[in-house]
Amino acid sequence: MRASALTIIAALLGLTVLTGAGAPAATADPLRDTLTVGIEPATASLKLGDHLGLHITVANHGATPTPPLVIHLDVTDPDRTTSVDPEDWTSTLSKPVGVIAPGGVKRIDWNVQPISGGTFAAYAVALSPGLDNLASSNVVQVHVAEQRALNPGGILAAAIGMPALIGSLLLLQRRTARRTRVRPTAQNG
Amino acid sequence: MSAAETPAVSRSQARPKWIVIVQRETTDLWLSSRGLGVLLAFSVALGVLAYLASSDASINLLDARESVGVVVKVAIGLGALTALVVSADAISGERERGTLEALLVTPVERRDIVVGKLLAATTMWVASLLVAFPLVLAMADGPGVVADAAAVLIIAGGLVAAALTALGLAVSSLLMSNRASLAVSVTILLLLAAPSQLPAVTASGTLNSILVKANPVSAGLTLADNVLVKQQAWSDQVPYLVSPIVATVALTALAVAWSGRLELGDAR
Amino acid sequence: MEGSESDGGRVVLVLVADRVVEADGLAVRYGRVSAVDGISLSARSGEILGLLGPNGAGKTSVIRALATIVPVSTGSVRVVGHGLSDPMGIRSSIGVLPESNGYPTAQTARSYLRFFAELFGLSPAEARSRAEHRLRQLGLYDTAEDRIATFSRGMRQRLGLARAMINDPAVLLLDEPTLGLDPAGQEELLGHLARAAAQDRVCVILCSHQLDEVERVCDRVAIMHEGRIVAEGTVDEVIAVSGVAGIARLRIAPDDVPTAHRVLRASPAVRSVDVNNARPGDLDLDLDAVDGARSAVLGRLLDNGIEPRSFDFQGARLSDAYRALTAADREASP
Repeated sequence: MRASALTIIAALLGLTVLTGAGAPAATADPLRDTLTVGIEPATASLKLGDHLGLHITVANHGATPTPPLVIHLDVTDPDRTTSVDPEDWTSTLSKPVGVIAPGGVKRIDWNVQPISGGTFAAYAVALSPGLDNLASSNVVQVHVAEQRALNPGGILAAAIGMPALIGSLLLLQRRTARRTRVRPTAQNG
Repeated sequence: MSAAETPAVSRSQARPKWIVIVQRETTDLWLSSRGLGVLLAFSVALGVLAYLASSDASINLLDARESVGVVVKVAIGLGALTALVVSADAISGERERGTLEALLVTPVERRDIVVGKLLAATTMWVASLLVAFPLVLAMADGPGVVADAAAVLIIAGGLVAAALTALGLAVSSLLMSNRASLAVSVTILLLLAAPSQLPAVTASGTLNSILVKANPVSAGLTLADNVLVKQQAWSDQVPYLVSPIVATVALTALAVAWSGRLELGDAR
Repeated sequence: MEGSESDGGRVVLVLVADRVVEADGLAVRYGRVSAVDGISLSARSGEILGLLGPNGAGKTSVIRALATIVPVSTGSVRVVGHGLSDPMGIRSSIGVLPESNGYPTAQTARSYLRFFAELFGLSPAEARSRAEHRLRQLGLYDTAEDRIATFSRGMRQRLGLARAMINDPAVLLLDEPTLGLDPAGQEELLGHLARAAAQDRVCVILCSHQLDEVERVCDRVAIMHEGRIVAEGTVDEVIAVSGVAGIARLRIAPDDVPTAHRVLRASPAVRSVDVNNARPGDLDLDLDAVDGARSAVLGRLLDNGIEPRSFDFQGARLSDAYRALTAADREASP
């Protein structure tokens, strides 16, 4: 009986070791506990069409190297008043940063261009393929002011002028065509 | 004055009949409200688009080449449509208005009638070009863009417009009803233009690439994008010129060949 | 018969009373429908030939076949010496005024005529001159610079005739030219045709439903029914062929009407007797085309003691012959 109990305990231990071997070897701690992701500036105010540079830093405070990391950028409208598609702001939403050694820091620069006015929240997350957790950054408040030129590039002259010219010619033509003569009945034949 | 007293005819000075028809058809198109009406619609649509594109360019959402590229591509598409609308009315419209019979009883070769009407319909495209140029000039940020845009409009746009004009005329020769002629012509244009706008087709891939080049409309629009926006060399655009040229020649030949079958709609 | 005469240095061949239109066994079929069923007709220069028939008789198809704008299924056609193998030659020699005659309303009459003159191969200068001549001739000179959209129906028909004559044709083919015109307009248009035939020796082939105008202006008529010609010749010849002598209105004493009705119905000279109920004593007689029909009627009445108070005889009109011939053809058709 004692031998059976020992066998069972050994089997259970062995099972634990085996299941433990399937886990990522780089770190046993969640990313949020070992990584600090920061995004600057904390707030930004710009006009529609301006470019905004975002600076992201990822620091590894853990004792072991990180797994291969990917930084993903997202933009949202917390007030849900404006539809935001992050791909409209930047064509690249994810950038690989590789492995960060213990105590190491990596910096990634991102250039975005808002396409609509309003107040938005931008943030970055660090994640690794296969991991079921991530580390997120602080939120950048981005205030975008609408600006539209009334006559961008002097286009109005042509955009309005051409239809106006053609419309005038058409009116003139129709007035000329509408000119009729009253014909006496005797001439009707 | 009797027939015998009529002055002798100086036939050596008579103009070729296709030229007489070109002049008459062109005058009719532009003296009636038809030509200017269609052109007005075109200028309003293009003007609105140019304004919006310029607005985006002014706030750097588009650069100048991209904004000019948008306007040039739409000008090609809409401008070719205006020429198609005119040519689709050329023969079937005469049938419905009862003016075709008087033309058919004259000693004019049927092909001269078709060629004359074809050339007159292309004046619609020329007018569209004249409307588009000032907009392009206003939007361009340098002579290089202007030159590229002008070349694209004249070469690619001209070929696409010529092909579609011939298509409209061929359809008009066959169909008795003007409405049917217009409906069929516009439907064919949409079938040619629509696939080039679908992401699945514009995505890379050998089959997609072949389809784009084989379709004269999508080939012309892609050429416009390549030269204007991507600043590719003209020498690289030869594959995109083949189908518009082939379509123009083939459809014009078809329209002329079918001219021999011109008949009245109520002949039966 | 041919001759030649010198006219200011030009020698002009004069073809007198020459056949300029000849159709032999002409047939036009549209699919299974036979619009013209193997007709033969001819017309001479200076002659006005009226082509009559009900709707669907094939008149328009004949015109279009002669003008070479519909294909001829069988038979031959020669117009001014040109056969169907030379459609350009035929079209150069004819002028056509179709029934469905539309006009480009944005054009002026002057530019319209110049355009067609050039299509017939005239130089721009000659086209201008010819257009001015026809505008004056057809009474459109004062309105030559007005848009056709402003023209009345009659003016448009005159413009159409001017266009049809712009090339000084040897043959004019006209399909219902007076349709929609008031009596004055009809008269005017027919006058132009008569002058063209008489002065310019133009051969005119005229399709019409207006039997009285055909009777007035045509030298010969051909009556068509269901694609065939049922009678052809001068008006008198066609009337004679129809067997209709004329209509007579007889007035007798109202009491004699029953007797008169009986004896006249039995007379071979009388085709039909109708009692006029609106006017007691009046009888309408349809007389047969036999010699002495009138005297036979009067004799029979007198033999039966009936004294006519009045006897008003109207000779047979083309309309009477037309009705009789088309009715007879309808009855004879399978």
